[in-house]
Order: sequence, then C-alpha cells, then structure tokens
Amino acid sequence: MRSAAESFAPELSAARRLVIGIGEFAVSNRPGDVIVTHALGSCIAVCIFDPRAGVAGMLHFLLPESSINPERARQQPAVFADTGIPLLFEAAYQHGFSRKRAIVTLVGGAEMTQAAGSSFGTGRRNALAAKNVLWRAGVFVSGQEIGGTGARTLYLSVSDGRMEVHNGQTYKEL
Amino acid sequence: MRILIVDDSAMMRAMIKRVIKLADVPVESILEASNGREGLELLQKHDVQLLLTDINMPVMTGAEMLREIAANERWRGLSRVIISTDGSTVRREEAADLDVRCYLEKPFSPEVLRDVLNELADNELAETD
Amino acid sequence: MSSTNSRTTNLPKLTNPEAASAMFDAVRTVAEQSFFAVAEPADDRSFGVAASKVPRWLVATVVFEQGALAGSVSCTLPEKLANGLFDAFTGRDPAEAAPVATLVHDLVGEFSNMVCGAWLTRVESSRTFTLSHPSVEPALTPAAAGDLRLVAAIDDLPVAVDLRLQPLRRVNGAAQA
Repeated sequence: MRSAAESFAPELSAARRLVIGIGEFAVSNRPGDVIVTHALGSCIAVCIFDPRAGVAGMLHFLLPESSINPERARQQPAVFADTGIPLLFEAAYQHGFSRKRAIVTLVGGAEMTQAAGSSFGTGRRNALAAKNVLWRAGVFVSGQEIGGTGARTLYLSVSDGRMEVHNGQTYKEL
Repeated sequence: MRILIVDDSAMMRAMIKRVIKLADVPVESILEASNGREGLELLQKHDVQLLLTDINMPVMTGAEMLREIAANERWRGLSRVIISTDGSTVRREEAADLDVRCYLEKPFSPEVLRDVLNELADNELAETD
Repeated sequence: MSSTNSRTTNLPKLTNPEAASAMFDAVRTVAEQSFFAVAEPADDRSFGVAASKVPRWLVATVVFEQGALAGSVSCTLPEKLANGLFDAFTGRDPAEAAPVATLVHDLVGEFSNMVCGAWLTRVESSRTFTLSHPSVEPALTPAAAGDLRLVAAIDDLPVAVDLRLQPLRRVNGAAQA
C-alpha cells in the first residue's frame, strides 16, 4: 500500500474527471480521462477496459436484482447489477469496445455494519450478482478488490486502464 | 488442440465446454465421455492433446482411467488435468504419480479453469514450436 | 473392521458443532464459487416457515465412503432454487427455452456431489473417498432429518442438507445407501 501523496490522484488536476455516483456509469475513449467514484461501500464498481480500443468504463451499482423494485429499475436501471452491467457494456460497444478483449475488475462489496453490529450481507450479494451477470454474458472477471468493512474511492485511468483504490489514508493499484 | 472432457455430470461437462469456448484457447474439437471406460475408448479413436477428468464416476473411475493412460506409451504426451471434489492429500499425491499436470478442486470459478487452460495452451504451443 | 464400533467412534465427531460448521462452509463455498448464490445459516423455525411455502422439492443423494466412515449426504432444494442454480451454473440466457427436467436433476445431483465432496475434504483432508453417482428424486415435502441436518438459505430459499451414517452395502460392487 502507498500513501496518498504517491498516487496518480494528484495528476487529476490536469485530467478530465468523470465522477459517477450510485446508480450511474460512465464510458470514455479519451486518453487522459479519469473515471472516479466515491463512497463505494457495499456497492460494487464494475470497471471495464479494452486496451486495444482504448475504451474504459465504470458502473457503480447499489443492489443485485432489479426484480425487487421493477419501477425503480425502469427509472434507474444502473442501480441494479442485472440491468446496469448490460447498459455499461452497451455504451462501451458504441466506442468499439470488444467483450472478448475486456479486462473486468470488481471493486467494493464491503460489509457496512448496521447500528446493532450486524450487516445485511449486501456487499457479498452484490459481488455475487455481478459475477453471475458477467458469467451469463460470457465475460471473465480479471481481478477484484472486494469485501472488507470500509468505504472506498476508486479511480480508473482511461489511457491505460490503471486503477487506484483509496481506503482512508492509503491506496493500492490494481 | 483436441480436448476430452470426462465427467459423469452432463451439466459439469457443459460448463467446462463453455469455459473452453470463452477462453479463446485454440481448440479443434471437444469430445465428451461420462466415465473412464468411455474416455479410454475415445482416446483410442482420436488424437487428443488435453484430458480434463473427474475422479468419482461409475463404470470406471478417473483414477483407474489415468492408471491405464500412464501405463500406455502411446499417451505419453497427453496433458492430464483432474477436476474433482476430492481435494485430499492422498488423491493429490496419487495424481502427481500419474503425471497429472494440474489438479483443480471443485467447486471452482470459471476464471480458475480459464487460467489453467491458458497455461496449458501456452505450454502446448511452446512444445510444438 | 466392525461397523458398529466405527459408527460409535465416528458419530460424536460428525454430529459435533465443528462438523456442522464444516458442512455449512462446504455449502457456502459450493454455492458461491460455482453458482454465484448467497448461502446463509438458518434455524429450524425459519426453515420451517420458508419450507411451508415451497410446493415442490428436489432431493439429491450421494453415497460416500471414506475409510471407516460411510453414509450419504442428501441435499433437499426447492425446485425454484434448482432452476435458478441451473441458470447460474450454465450461464443460461433467460430468453432461451427452459431446460428439460433431466438436465436440472443432473445439475442438482452435481450440486450435492460437490457439497458432499467439499465436506468430506474438510472433515478429513488426509483421506481420499469415493462418491456414488447422485440419485435425484422430486418430492412434495422435505425428507425426514438425518443423523446430522443442516438447514440454510440459498438465495433466500430454504435448503436442508442431511447426513446419514450407515453400514455400507455393496450391490454388484457399487456402494448403496
């Protein structure tokens, strides 16, 4: 783990930041862009990168299945793994992204404890839901940084697919 | 590369086949058998480069099949992988004695099998160069 | 080898909390790794409530032999869960035609095979074992509990895993429960 001072985050001042929140996604093919998401707790960020097409994307979803709230899924499909992940890929395909070349990383899925010290296991459910959707789509997961108990901030560089996960005072590259 | 999958579960064979196709490993054909006896019959008829086999199967177990393969010079170059629920140290040691290159314990994620296939395919290419 | 002595020696080990914990760990690992399904512990009361809402079940049984230990592991799952596990394992597109029952039975049998094998490896990692080809039967109610019963929830649906210890019979050379 490195300290925050050594990360590539300071370079962001010269880059275009695409900040996404819960239930949002972004795709870019502009070198120099950095896709960022904050407060990644039990949610999962699905990060995709095609090194040949130079396309990267990130989805920050909250819940596993749209069937638990079809109305919300209609209005905010990116909130759910099963509706959000296909949207992310569809958007990436518009930029020449190839599923066969996809490098896919999952980040998040922390167990955020409730007041009574228990958790609903949402982080675990979200991680499994993401893997299920990706397997159904015929996409392998290349790496993951999931679990734990703390919220994360995640940066994805569109230029080279490099990722940094920040957790408190330290960060690590994926 | 011609691959033979030996497992008494048709759905496990289907899952393994799906991983093979998605892994983008150069494959000429994929053969299937539901027990060790059928596996040996297919090996007699076809030139196979990679064998993926379960252990516990009716008629003839994977271990029995692998012992016959190890005893036959014809199959010296056959790459052998065990995919089994049996993760015991005894079985793993037996596998090493039977020239098994990789021991994959069930349950496994698709990525784990994909990595095994890629490594074996790279080795296969290196050996034919 | 005396089957009575073996049974007496092994029962305390297999019905103790560590064995039950190993069984749940096996179920969870199988559910997560191969089926992307969430497995959570349950108690008899919550299992009973959830089970009362299940119209049809599948029971998959695997007979095992590991040294002096012999018996069977049965996994009882709602048919709805079996179909869900089938889709997850195979990556089936919901738009595809539904699978025939024999394929779902095969899949449930493989689930039970993996749970039994994963449990045996945890209980005694230095010993190899043999497993029969699974037998799968539909049922309208869960079967009676075995020597050890684990109840759990997989994807919020009730599941029972029953261990039965018994003397091993051999019929035509094959292990029979």
